[in-house]
Amino acid sequence: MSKGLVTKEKWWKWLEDKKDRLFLSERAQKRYGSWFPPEVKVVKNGKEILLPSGEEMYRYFWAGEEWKVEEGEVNTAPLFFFSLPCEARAIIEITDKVFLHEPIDKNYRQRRKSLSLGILACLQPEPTCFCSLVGGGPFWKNEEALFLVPRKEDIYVEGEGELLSYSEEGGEKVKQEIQTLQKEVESGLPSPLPSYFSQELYQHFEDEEWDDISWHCMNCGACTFLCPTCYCFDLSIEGRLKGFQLRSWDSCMFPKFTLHASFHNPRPTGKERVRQRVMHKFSYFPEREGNFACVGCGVCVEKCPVNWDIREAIERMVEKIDRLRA
Amino acid sequence: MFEKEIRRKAKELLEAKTVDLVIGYTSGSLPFQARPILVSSPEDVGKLVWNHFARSNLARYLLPYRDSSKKIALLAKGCDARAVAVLLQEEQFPRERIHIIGLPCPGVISRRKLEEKLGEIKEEDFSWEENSFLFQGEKWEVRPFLEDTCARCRYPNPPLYDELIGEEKEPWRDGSVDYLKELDNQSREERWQFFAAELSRCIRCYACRNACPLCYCKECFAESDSPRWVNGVPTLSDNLFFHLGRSMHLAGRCVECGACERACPEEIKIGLLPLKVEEIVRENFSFEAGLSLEEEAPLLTYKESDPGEFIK
Ligand code: SF4
Ligand code: SF4
Ligand code: SF4
Ligand code: SF4
Ligand code: SF4
Repeated sequence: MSKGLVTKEKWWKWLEDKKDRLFLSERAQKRYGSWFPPEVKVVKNGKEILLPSGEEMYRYFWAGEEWKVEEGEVNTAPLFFFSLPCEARAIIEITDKVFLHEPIDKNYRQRRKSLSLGILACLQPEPTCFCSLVGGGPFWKNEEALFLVPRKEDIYVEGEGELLSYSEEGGEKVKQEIQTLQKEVESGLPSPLPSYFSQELYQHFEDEEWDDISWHCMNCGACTFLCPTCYCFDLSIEGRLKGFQLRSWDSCMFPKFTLHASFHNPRPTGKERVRQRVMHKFSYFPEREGNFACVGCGVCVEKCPVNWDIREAIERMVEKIDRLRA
Repeated sequence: MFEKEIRRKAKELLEAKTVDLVIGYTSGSLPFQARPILVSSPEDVGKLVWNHFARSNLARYLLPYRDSSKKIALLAKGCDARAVAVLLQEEQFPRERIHIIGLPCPGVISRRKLEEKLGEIKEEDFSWEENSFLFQGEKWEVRPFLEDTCARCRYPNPPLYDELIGEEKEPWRDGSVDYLKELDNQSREERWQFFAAELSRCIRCYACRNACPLCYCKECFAESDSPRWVNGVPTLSDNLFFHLGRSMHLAGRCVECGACERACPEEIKIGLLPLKVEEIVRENFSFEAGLSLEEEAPLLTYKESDPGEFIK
């Protein structure tokens, strides 16, 4: 991995042949929009590229004597996606683990292979942000992605590849400046959840606290659809003798999500659904994959119509767990 | 704003066991928010608040209790009380199970409008007065900051209540600000452009439907598998189908509270559709939902003497 400074001029030069293949997250655009050309496609988050809200998995038709099946087409042209650290982390540490571990999702893999990530340092955490609580941070980086800190006249860059060949050595002074900046931004952010949290949380599955925690949630799909890590989908066959298999987003907040063919529903009310959302992100997923399935971006907190705040649910459970441990 | 009286009343009702539960608003984790809260113990009444940020229609929080025997007190703005009246008329609850604490509504304020005009805002910079507020010492009228849905409200005062806390208010509506009327004045083409743009942004999260006190079907047509009306992909055509379908299901039932629109995470002006349908019902049937328990809802009533040939 190398580090360096890229001047504005060179940055634009590097972007020159990528203009029609550039994606930028909405939240990154608000902060860094001026660093990107007008052609950049603004998306809510990485899901819009990797897990579109609707996708034809295959087409089929009845050819008189047998079924014919054609696989759906997936883009393979190289694309660039620039986002905030939390949003990149949602891809690298959550959706990648879901779709690239066995059984591998072919469509996701193809799209992912052609996607290069750029992480733009987060210099203004918002009141709804809590990335540091869940193992990330405003300067979170990963070796597969470019890490960028846009400054007044240049961009500090870490990573590999063509952009680095445009960079100049920044020297000790720049290193110092970046470190100071990071310290400044990170000061006062919450410290990570204790390592025992995911395991102990599950012990509170039956806790009556969930009634109160979940009470005012309306079980809509706003939080899960807008969350960069929520990846649940539904599969349906659209058509009879001719049609396609459709993959579309689904949400654990919806009553049909767990409805059995027998009409039994193991998650009959809002309480079970809210508990599932929290448990999946903070217990089941981390127990399996080693990190939370929430990157603390705060989007769900900001967008919830009734101000249901996942941080409060976590806080209440932390308190319970710590009280019992004491 | 009458918080003391509200808390005192809630406490009294719970202590006397007149009700088992009180549904009201409390302050949230973010500024300029009043979120729904359930209070079941007299000790917790101090959590109740009442201000300009009571965006939800609380009547929708009654719905999970339909099959219980709990007696519930509900803090109700004009539109919340109207929604309760429709629920009672539609026999979702017996009247004696719902205790309505009526609150003349000061209007819900749009945080976005505050930010647009005042820049960065903090709660401590505001002090609220009747119909106006002081922001960093400067006086502003509340009116221009109201949610679009509230600026056209006809009934800030609950038409139905067991008791009323606060003074009855004049409606804000004077015809000068009505976002529905603005749309009426456009050409069909312009309106189509407008709705196509708005509904292309819809992610079909159903927050609008779930916020609506009168969308209480056990299985919504949008989620029905047989017949299957729409699939899960938020395309313009399916979005349009869902929202038009929903508006029609609310014809003559919608109480024009605007809770659907205020719930939308994408800030889509989705209230316009049901509100327009209610305009049509008002014009054609001289009827407004939820104003009384006696008046028959025209679209839910069958009469052999109906003048419409097609229906007989
Ligand atoms: S937390 Fe908020 S956004 Fe999520 S389902 Fe509940 S009400 Fe909807
Ligand atoms: S903060 Fe909310 S939206 Fe963001 S990753 Fe966590 S659950 Fe998803
Ligand atoms: S709340 Fe908004 S985004 Fe969600 S379904 Fe309704 S109109 Fe669409
Ligand atoms: S459709 Fe909208 S305005 Fe009408 S009652 Fe439902 S939430 Fe209120
Ligand atoms: S949209 Fe129609 S079917 Fe769906 S909940 Fe509302 S009234 Fe029922």
